[in-house]
Amino acid sequence: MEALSPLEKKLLIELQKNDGKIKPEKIDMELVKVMNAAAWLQSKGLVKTSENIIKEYEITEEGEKFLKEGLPEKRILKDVEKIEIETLEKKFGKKDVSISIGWALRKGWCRIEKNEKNYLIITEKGKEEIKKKQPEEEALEKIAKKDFNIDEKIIKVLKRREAIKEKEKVERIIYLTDKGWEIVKKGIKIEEEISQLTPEIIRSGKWKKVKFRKYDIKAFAPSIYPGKLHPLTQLIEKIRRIFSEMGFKEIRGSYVESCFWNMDALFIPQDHPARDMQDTFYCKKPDKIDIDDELIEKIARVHENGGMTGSIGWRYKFNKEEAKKALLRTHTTVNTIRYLANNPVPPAKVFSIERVFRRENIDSTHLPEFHQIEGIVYEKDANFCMLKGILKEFYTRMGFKKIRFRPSYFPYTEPSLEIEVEWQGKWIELGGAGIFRPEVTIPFGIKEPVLAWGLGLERMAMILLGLNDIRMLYFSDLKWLRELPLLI
Amino acid sequence: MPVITVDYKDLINLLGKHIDMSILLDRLPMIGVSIERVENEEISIEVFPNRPDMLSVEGVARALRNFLGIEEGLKIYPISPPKISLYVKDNIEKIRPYIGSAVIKNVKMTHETIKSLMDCQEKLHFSIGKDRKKMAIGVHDFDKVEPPFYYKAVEPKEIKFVPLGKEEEMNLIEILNKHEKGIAYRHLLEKYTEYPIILDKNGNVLSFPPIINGELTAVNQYTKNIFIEVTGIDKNAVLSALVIISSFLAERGGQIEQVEIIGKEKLITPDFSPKITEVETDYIKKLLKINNTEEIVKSLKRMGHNVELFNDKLKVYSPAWRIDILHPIDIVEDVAIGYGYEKFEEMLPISMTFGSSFSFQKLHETMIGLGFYEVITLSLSNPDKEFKKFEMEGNPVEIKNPISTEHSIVRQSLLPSLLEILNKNRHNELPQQIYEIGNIVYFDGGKAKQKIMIGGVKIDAKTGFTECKSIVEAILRNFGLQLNVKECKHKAFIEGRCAAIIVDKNEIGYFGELKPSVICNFELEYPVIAFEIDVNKLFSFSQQKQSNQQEQ
Repeated sequence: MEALSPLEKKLLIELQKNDGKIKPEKIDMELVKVMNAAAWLQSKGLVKTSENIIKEYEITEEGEKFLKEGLPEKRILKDVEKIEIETLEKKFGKKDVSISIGWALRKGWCRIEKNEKNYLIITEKGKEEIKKKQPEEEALEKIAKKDFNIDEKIIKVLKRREAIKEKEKVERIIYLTDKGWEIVKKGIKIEEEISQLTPEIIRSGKWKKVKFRKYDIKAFAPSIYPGKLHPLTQLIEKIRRIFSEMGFKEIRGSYVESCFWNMDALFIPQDHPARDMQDTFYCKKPDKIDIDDELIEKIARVHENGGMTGSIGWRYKFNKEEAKKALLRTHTTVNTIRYLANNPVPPAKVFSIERVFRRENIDSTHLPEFHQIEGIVYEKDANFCMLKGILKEFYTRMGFKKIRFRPSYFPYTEPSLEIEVEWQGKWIELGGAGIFRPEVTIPFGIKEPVLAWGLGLERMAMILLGLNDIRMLYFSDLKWLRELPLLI
Repeated sequence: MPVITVDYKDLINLLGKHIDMSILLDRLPMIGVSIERVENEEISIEVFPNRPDMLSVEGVARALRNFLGIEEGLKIYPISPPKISLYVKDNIEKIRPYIGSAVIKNVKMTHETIKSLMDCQEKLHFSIGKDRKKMAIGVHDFDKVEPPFYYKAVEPKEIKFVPLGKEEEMNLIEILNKHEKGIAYRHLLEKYTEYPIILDKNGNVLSFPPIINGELTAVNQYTKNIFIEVTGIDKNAVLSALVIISSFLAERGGQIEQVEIIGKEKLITPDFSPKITEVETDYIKKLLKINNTEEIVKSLKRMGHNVELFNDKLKVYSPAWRIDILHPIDIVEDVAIGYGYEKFEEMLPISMTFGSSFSFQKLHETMIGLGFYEVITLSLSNPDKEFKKFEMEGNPVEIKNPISTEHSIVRQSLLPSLLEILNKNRHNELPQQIYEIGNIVYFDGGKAKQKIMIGGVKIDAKTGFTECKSIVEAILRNFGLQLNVKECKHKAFIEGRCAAIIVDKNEIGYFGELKPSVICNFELEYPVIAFEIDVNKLFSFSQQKQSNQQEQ
């Protein structure tokens, strides 16, 4: 038998005393506690509860007046033989008098004589009855005591006279089941059992003597939720850790950048579709960013004819004003090239995980703003095999088992590749990488190969979190965040 | 990026050898294209912008024949020397100066050929042509007109012809104003008073580039010989596109016959002579870790190049349609692709470097300890949210070409975004306490500057300034700092219930109780407290304090 709480035991004993049937309010315990105990006992199959809807009555203001002053027909007929109705009306008010006369006539307590004026004459019956307590009054007294065992006819009259209001009430009855009878027949002992351990019990040493009630350990406990990192941050922190453990230094850049650093320095031709107003957010304020003229001149030559890079260049007329236009960076590769321009001496391994902006409409897979995981390896004789190796190492550390590489294209890398991981039987593209072109590195005095990558964060987050809508990540529903397990 | 649709049977036919669909789908991505989807026998292929020579099934087949070892090395099409001429008048020079042209004889105009020709023409217009601006292609039935041809600028009303797809004659102005292609592309000519035209010996109109061809020379299944003209403002684009499209028709069995272009200079087009790149063998070996020269040569042949070896150098002959070869590095990539990306072993970097990161872990721990939830919101915002609803003024970075009014500026404070999150969570249980660590952008001396802030808000039936002060104090305490306050006038907060956070006489943030009007603006119904602190200042004061302790 499962453990019974003292309250449950008390309820069972009460039931036994009352032939296995009792109304909860009859028990000398807080009603909530009784019902709680009943619910637990019911779940253990020891009691059953039934609910019936019963009628109750409540005395209205009018009814209270009847109780206090007696019925109005009794009042107006008191000490009266024959009287002008007008006189009565002056004394008791027109409305009361007309109602009272109505009832008195119906009961045969009086009659009305019509001469020049209307007279009220009390009958013998009337003289007798007004001395007695009337059934309506008796009924009201009973109702006042919550005794509703009253003749239906009287109830109807009282309702009509608006002396009482009917109310529906749920009446609960708790019954012992057969299983319950078995238990109570075996005898129920109430010992002092401790439920809540208190400081008093500990300090006084009382705990040595008392018994601790066994709890139902399967019983429900309320949910609580600790504060939490957003899953995207959890992922970013993990990636940060992986790259810094592999010897990479984190760098940061700015949202607002120039076309020069974001595009031109990376050998993206000025008529490249990604530079369209369709794809890139340009700034109205600030609309221009100052760039050193000499630097622009150097890069202009690379675009126009390759400059000193050994390239034939894109062979078009470079627009130097275009280079100064301000935009919201479209990739974090701009952080990398700025870093390399300032730190051209190898080796360097740096990374950044930051936001980038693209002119995309919001839908389940696109946002105008998202994160890129950027990184480079810059060292003597860096090569294509190392690029594959470092990316494989990263994704393996992220927990992906199958990783593959295939050719791709970016204006600033050659060779270029795309990284795919296998997830639930499908190959999913997670990012691009390559070796920076000489057109990108040579102008900044970068003499060794630079292995570079730009990987998607949100896409990886979506597959790891099982999301099919990217918006979930940026329009945090707190219920979702509360329930979401931590990323291990 | 352009996507082309290829019919499997047509592709096999062009390959000249049966290859299973599954093998094709496996190998295609390894040449450097993406399979978008496969439906029945139709394969949709995404072509990277550096390879317009693969913008048609003929080009894909040509690359695959090399890659799969069906053919080896440089593809050479038989080319006949010019029999006809095209004269370029000087007056075109300021409008659309460049033209290249070819005649393709004995083309079998099957359904597939016509479809592929139309498709790739459109794709080339977009990719190389930048929507016909840099170059536009016209394809004509050669037998309907009589050479020589003339390319010149004319008065718009001087010439009338029946444009493609129409029945009545129109002059050039009428075409620009009424013809759908005229309306779509007239912006390319809006600067000019004279327009380009291509005529034959008898004054018949072949084309009104870059707008529309004449109906007279429309190509159909009965066409046998084709005349191609490519006009444009970029000589490179014009000549490359001509080579690419001519080569596609040669793939279909057509014989290329060159055309003599006579203008200021004489030019024979199309020019199929291979591009020569010299590459040091060591350059390839170092970057790719392939030590065997023979393997390098084989790989290049698999990518359609011919190679001559001398001393330590390779002389690489690349097909004329490979417009992506700008530098020896592009040859290196072709070696890598030809060799097979999957075959390279994986290595790790050798250099010794020290790792470091900008983790905000301690700040996150503090906030989580206080029971806050971290949220992430967009930094793109709008003046309505940032200023009107938050009752603030500002001077934000503005976007010239926003995609929606909702995202037209970059935020200057994290708090409006957090209030918006509270708004979206109205249906969820209270209390709610959330924070974000993120960048904001502001102007300092006309320059856009960025800083990292932590913003936090709490909404509950009973919360206020004092609780907010406790929270801010707790954060500072965790960083070894003591909170000092100064009264702060911030329009979003109740007057007298907003304080500036002072550390060592420096203001590093503010906190307080939001105004009911601001709460209502975000459609919330409970008191809200908020704080925002400059994270870098918090960290640097904290570090300063710790290093001071070390010195004492």
